[in-house]
Amino acid sequence: MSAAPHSLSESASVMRMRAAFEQHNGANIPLRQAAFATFSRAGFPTPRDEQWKYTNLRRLESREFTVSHPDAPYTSVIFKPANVYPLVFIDGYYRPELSTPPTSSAVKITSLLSLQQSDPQQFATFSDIQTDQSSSMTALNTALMTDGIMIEAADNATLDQPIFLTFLWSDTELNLMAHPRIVIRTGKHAHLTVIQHYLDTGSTSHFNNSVTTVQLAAGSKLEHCLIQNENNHSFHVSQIHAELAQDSTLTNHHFNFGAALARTDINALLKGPEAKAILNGLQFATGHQHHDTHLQVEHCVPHTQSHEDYRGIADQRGRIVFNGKVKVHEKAAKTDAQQSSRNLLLSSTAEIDAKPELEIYNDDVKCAHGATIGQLDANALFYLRSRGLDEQQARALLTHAFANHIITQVPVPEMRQQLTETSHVRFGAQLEYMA
Amino acid sequence: MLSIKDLHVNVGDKEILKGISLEIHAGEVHAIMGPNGSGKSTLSQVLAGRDGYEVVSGSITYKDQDILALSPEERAREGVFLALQYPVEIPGVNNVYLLKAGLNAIRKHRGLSELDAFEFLTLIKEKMKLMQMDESFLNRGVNEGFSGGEKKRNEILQMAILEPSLALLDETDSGLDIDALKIVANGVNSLRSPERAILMVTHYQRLLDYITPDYVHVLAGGKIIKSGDKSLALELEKRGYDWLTHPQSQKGTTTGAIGA
Repeated sequence: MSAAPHSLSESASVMRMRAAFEQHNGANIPLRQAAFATFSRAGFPTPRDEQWKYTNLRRLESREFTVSHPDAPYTSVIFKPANVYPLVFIDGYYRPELSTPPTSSAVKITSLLSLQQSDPQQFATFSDIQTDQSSSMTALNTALMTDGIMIEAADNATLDQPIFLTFLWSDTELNLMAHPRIVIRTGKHAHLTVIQHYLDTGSTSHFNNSVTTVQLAAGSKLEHCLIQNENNHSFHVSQIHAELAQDSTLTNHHFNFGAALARTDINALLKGPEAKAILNGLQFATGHQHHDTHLQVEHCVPHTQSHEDYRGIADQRGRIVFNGKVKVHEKAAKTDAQQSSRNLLLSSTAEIDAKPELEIYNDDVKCAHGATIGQLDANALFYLRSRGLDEQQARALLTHAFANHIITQVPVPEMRQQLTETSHVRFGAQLEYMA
Repeated sequence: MLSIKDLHVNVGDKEILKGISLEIHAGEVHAIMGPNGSGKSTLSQVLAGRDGYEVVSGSITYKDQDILALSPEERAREGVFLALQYPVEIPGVNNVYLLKAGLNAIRKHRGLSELDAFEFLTLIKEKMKLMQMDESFLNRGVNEGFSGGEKKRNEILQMAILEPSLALLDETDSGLDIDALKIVANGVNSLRSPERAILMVTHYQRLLDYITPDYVHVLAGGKIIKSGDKSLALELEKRGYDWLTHPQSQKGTTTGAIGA
């Protein structure tokens, strides 16, 4: 028998993560040790797990990723829309010298890594909300967390501009992995807009595994965008765990454009009456891309609302998975849950799996869901071509129109323009931007 | 400009057009009238290049080219325009965007410079005045939430902007009240020119009170059974289609009426 019993049952991929963990500067912190133990027991999720039925991480597991280091040189121009507070992350590390945090004292921005060094006790509480111990990817993030940012808005706080978190990779040949953590806490009646933007214009395969936790106090509002535009060789796993108190509203706008494989989990717990979660999203997979989004909304108390509006577009050999689970607890009378998943299948080799999942334990509720998978409207295609547009242009225009329904709901104009341009590039179309 | 010779067209297994021949010259306005199901719309769709129609035999020559070899967009760029009976609603595609993209594709094909946003806006505003359309139209999706009359006006607006050589109007009068009909007819009349040919397909004579055709053809059972000038349309208005399609039964009815 080996002295290290875990190594007997551990798969090669878990052992690689253990090696990374042991080198990590947080390896002696109990919180991280416990998290790694959780991860090593569960390993990477496999399709045997119902929640991962359509998404196999084998390709990710077979690769070796190097733990990133702080202070990697970054020389490229950083994309940021006008009128935002940019907070820049390179290889998963927050870079104050490239960032402009808000100056308002009502909104506090703290780097988690600096907190780990300066105040280990407070650091240990950052994961208060992280309740989903069963998620091995969350545990892996806690264990290997590179850096992160805590955004705390005081009661009644508002900001004049959105906070723009941008996650970039340094110019390197190494296959890096980063495990950033975002913590957002709003005080009572605070209003915030936070954009989480992942962008990689290079071609080196990286692995991002990020976790965002959101705690909304009574009456507060968060507009949140999660925009994934990694390069097509990379792996992107991200999760949002949100808890909503009475009268609070979370609006999330989620875009899966890039990566070879992207998996997003958005979990919202509606814990106070009149809490409301609005989850909009767009996934666009082409080439050999695989995009999987799992939503889970739990209505825990009476008079809560959720509204899900997701669209998927799969072209070439692209693969889209959408799973929208709504759970209405026994006590949650007067729940109003609406879910729509509309999908466009643009090629015979693409695949879309859309699955609504309702679990309802109360009779006095209003729940509706609809999932459709279709093709471009032949009448509309002919109409555009009869006006002089060539077939490719007409297809791109109709595809973009389908996507635009989600893009136009993003509350930041500069971001809408950026998303439109991204979608045009992704659709391979020479379309002009029209507001 | 347009020469159709012995055109036979099937939809699925069914023969819809059974040998149509028609010559249209620049500057002429032709009206094709006929009862429902006679193949009128099929003819205009085939001319514009829609899928789902099989040309079994015959030819269509437009400006000395075999039009059947061209895609819908190539026909549009060569100056063919079809105003649809049922214009399609396309939410998310802006009216202005479509028109500008279409016009510039056509201009590029003809070796003309593309219009920039300002030039295009000036042009479209002038044409919108002609069609008495509200400026709010500019920011709406293509035909999105338009009334029947607005959709038809939008078709003629598009025609005014794209300036085709051959305009095909498919039941442009259907669903229009009298005021909208006048606006649409006025728009079409302003586009009559010695370089342009117009082919109108209509069930009713009413449209022809406002747009006077040079020639009227009656299409029934997939064939042109009678051609004439505008007086033929008036006769159809008075006597219906039966005297042409079922001359015997028409006679019988008349006899019966006398007998009573």
